[in-house]
Amino acid sequence: MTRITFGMVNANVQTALQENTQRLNDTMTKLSTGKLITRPSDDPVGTSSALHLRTQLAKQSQYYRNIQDGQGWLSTTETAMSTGNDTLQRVRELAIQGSNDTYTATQRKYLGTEVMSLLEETVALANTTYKGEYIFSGTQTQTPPYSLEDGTGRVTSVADANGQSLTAAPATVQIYDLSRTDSSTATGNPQVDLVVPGTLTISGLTEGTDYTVDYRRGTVTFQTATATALAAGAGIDMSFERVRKSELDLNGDIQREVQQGTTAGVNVTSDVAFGSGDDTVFDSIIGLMQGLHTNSRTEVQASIEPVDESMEAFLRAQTFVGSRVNRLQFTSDQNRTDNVSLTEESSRIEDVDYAKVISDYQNISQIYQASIKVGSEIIKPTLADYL
Amino acid sequence: MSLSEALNIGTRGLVASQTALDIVGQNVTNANTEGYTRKRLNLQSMSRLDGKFGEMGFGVDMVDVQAIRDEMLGRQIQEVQSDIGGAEATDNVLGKIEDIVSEPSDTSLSSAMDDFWDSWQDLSNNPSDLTARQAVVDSSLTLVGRFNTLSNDLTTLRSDLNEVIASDAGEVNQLLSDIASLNKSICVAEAGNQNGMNANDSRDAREVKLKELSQYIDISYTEDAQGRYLVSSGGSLLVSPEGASSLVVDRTTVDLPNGTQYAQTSLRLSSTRKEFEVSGGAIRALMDARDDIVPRYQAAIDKVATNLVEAVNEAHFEGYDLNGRTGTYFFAPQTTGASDIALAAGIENSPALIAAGTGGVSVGPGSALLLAVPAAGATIDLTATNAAYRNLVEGSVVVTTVGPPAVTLAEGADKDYMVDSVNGEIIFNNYAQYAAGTAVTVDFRYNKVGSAGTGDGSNALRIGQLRQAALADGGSATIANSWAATVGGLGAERERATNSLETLKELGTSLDTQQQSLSGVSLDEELADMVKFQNSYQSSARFISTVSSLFDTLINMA
Repeated sequence: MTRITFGMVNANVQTALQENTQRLNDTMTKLSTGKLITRPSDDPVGTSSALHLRTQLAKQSQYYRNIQDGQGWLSTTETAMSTGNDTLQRVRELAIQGSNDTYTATQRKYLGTEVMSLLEETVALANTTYKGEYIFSGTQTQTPPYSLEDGTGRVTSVADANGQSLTAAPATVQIYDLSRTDSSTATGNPQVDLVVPGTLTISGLTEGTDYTVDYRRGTVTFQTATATALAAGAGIDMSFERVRKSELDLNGDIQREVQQGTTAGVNVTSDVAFGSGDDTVFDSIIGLMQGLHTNSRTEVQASIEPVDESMEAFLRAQTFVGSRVNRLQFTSDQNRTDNVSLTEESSRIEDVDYAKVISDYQNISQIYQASIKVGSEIIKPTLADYL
Repeated sequence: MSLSEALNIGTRGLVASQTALDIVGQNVTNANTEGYTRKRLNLQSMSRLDGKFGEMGFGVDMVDVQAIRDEMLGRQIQEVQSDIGGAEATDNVLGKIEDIVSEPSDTSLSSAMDDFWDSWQDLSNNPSDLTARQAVVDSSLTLVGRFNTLSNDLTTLRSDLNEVIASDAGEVNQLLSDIASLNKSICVAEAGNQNGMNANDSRDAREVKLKELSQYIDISYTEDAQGRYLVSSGGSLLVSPEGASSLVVDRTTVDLPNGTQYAQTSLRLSSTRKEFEVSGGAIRALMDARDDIVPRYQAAIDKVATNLVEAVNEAHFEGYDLNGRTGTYFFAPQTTGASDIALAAGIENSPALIAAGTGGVSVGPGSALLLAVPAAGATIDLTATNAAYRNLVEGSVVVTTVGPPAVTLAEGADKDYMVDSVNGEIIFNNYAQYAAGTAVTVDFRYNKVGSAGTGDGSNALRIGQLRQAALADGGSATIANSWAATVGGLGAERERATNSLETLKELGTSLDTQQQSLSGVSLDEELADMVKFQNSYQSSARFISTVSSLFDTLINMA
């Protein structure tokens, strides 16, 4: 039989009390922090999983932010495109009106004024911004893709740096904008196209008699000896307004990472939306304006087809944007679903189940109180009490 | 047998009972004294030969005062004690590392890394936005700060461990000299030991010191003929019959990888001047923690830092900043680990230098004025004018003589010149119609390599995507996963340490209980003994008074 001594009983009671206090404290920590894991050794595997899940959650919320940003771009693009469609629709109506036999030169001029404002509107649309970034400029988001600018040109009888001269009429001369330096040509003077009809003026010469202009290509054809004389003398000075496309590469893709390893393009370049080369929306509108300006019914009529083509291109681009919007919406929904399940998973590992822990707490607290009570009863009596 | 002999028997009984009561008193009052072993008075009946009856009782004799202890159990307790000391120290250090790492939490390294990657993604959404750039700088500074703090805290922990080792060595020295002096008093007290001459209380005290000593180092001991303990550890005799040797703390300055230094302690024996091999106990565990555990986690954190710096810098180096410049680092490239990770110079104050773009090609105009056209077959190298003048746009080269008249030369194999557009060279074929030495201007367009515009966030996205790239553990895990595994490993190691500590403690408690059961004072037992010896005292006294009345009777007869 084991001898039981006072010291043993005392040590046992103390150990038991200490253990119970420890458990009480652990439970209290869980309750007050709401976390099952407050340090890695609480649950090494759980800690590892919890860290994975936290990172996963952080990534998901980041993807969600990226998606929202992409949706912002795309919805701005969509709005701009649908406004553009309405504008082109109006351009088309005016073109049909202008190709009417009965219209007079004055009436066509009035129509031209309205088309001019539609042209300005279209340039403004091309320069739509989202959070201060030009959305049709590719990655050159600080540069407007198209702008309406004033320019000057000059023709003399001696070939200039661009190789332009007028020794005798009739002759067709390409206009260079001498007021600007640009990288599109070797000399740095940009070659002019898309001149706004009606804005080109030459002092001393009359449009129609002395010269004619191809506004889309930016060429002037001088017809009379007056022009030759002027070129040989003081030189022919031209001023005009034109639509200029930025010389920068506007075809950059803007990508957002929307899912792990998946990026989605969120921009539409100006080439896709407004056309490229000589087939831009602006070519179409200026073609119409030229017809209206020169009061040429055939030209006006001929301009309807390019306008139609531009509208088609616009619609295609709009569909393209629409499909991207749908795709992002789908990804966004998926992201939210994943987010919910990840949050649940993370919470299951890291968070306290209050009902369980509170009932644990009550249990432990009762054991604790019982151990104090019993301990105090056991420690007290000795034989001395009864001698 | 004479009456006076009977009186002697009674007296012996009185003295024995009184001594037994003294011992009861000693036991009861020392019931709570640490290491106290209960004492027992061993009694023997005295006898002598009587002619008639053979052996006749001659009263009671006190043989000795015996301390009730089990030597084997004592040794077991010492051994467990040194294991407990070691496990406790290991558990304690791992707990501190857990505190330092403080995962999982919202301020931990993994949270800081998450914020860091997120800020790059945000930047890729708004590459031209200086606020987004500043946010990258801010999150990076937080991350760098977190790394630095982790590294500093672990280094501080290492130097703290050195201090603890030094102060523990002081404790060991004190205990060794205590044991040596107790050895001396036991030796003196028990000198010429016939029987019953036990220095029980000094022995108890020595056991306590020995147990304390075992917590610090793993010891073994033997008892010599004079009752002295010869204590040795790690192959060295620490307490010899002559006295105790002591441990001397040496401090060696150790260079850390980041250029700072700290004083590493080692222990030397004063007697032999040789290094003291610590074989167990808390000091061994502290040294292991200092030389293995802490450096292991430090290395893991350093690895995370260098992996991150390498990957981010590699991508950043290939990107373009807002000014169209490339070939710069984001983190200081000389980073060796968590202690010295920092942002590259300039980035902190100029977020515009963050290379968020991948760069692209844009076409730009170029021109060169060449004063003297060389002879036929010779080459003009445009890159001599400007190193960027290469990759010329086909057909864009216009060569004009400086007039008047200004004549434009023709390009072609059978014409004036040919162009090597890739290298930016113009080869003159035939210029017979122009005098050698004629000045020409060359105008052209060339492909400029540079930024693809401020809206280009693709490099920031590339860096943001490094989060899920397998960059760590030899390309088998992401940085975050590798760190999570390290943290999980830390948790598991601590859990093991805590479990083994608890197991050892339970073993220790069980052994203590056994010792208590054998050597501890039971008050009930002592009180029962007290009553017993009280009665026996009273009985002896009664016996004496009875013998005395016999004397009276005898005297009154006369």
